[in-house]
Amino acid sequence: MAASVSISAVLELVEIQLACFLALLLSVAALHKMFWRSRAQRAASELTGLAWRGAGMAASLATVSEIGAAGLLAIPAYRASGALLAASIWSVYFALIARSIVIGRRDVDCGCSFGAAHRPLGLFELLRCASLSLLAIVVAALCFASAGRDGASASLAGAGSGAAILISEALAAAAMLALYAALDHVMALGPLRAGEIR
Amino acid sequence: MSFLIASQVLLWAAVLVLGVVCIALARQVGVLHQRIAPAGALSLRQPLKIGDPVPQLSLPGLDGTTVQVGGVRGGRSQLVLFLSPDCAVCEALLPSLRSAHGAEKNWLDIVLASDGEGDKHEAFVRKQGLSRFPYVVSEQLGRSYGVSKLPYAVLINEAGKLSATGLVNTREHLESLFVAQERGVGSIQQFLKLRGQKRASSGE
Repeated sequence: MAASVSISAVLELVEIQLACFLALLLSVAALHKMFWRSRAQRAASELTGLAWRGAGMAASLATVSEIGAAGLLAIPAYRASGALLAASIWSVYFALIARSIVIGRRDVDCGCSFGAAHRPLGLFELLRCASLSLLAIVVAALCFASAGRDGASASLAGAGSGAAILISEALAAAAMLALYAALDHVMALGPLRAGEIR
Repeated sequence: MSFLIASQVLLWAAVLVLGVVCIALARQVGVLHQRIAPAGALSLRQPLKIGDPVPQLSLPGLDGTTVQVGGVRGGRSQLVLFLSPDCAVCEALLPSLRSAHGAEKNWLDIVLASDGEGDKHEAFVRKQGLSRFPYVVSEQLGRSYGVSKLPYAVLINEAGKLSATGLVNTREHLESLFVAQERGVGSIQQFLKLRGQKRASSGE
């Protein structure tokens, strides 16, 4: 009995940490689109093929959707809906990037990197969208699973002091975002060509 | 359980510090990239323009075989590197050339070209282990591409047209020719011009 309580607590902790990370990432992405609006608009135009005005509306829609998903993820009662919305957003990005690659437009700046530099579209950009979408689906599944369990929150509450858990969640979300940002910086650099000098 | 929570807090704090350190390192690498970039082959004034068909020449190689330079060659591109046995920079570039020969062999053939006395070149090929590359000694070839400084490289695409060209002193310069062909620009000057136009149009 004690083991099942511990697993519930761990699953809930993982769900909250992942949800916090995704909410933080979506908030930063939305802020990035607001501050660098012309880049977001150009990315929307090149990815969707829309005219400049239509691309502006698409960029605004993406920003609002990201803010909405981040907000929903932060509220425990609406976390599952937020996770599903986040999964949909990254699925759309995945489809648009895949379309650009298929039609031979690898040079498009998808606006996916926080820095100004970007590398040609490829497998990494697709994997990133797919992974984030999958992570959001995992959060949604954990939410549905915890909703089906009785006293899941009580199991987590009983696992330690509330403040310590809150600090752990905040640190985990910040740490995952830092690792994501580090990977983003590294992958924005131009790839080296093969061949060692001997 | 409180011990586990405490250890988790500490571990996440450690991961956060690690992440921030990684960001700082990646930013430093990015700044270095920006400071040295764009490092491309310097294109000099030349009789042929980028996109022009390259005259097809059949020249005698140093080993007695006939080497075809230019023209359509079964869907493969060709890099003609002009060098000289007396040129120290050319010698320093050879390890990069050998490396590029191995890494780009799926789409690229490399030809070495020079002029002057044959004996000197034979000794140079033996000393530097360049027997794997076709080596032509022809003043006519250098003149047709307007080569005035060494080492100078000319990249001919699979359609037999001039794709990229320039003075190459380092591996970055050499690779810039391959990247130029992939991106559809002919030289560092053209790349800078296009980038300036793009920035001006987007208001950055």
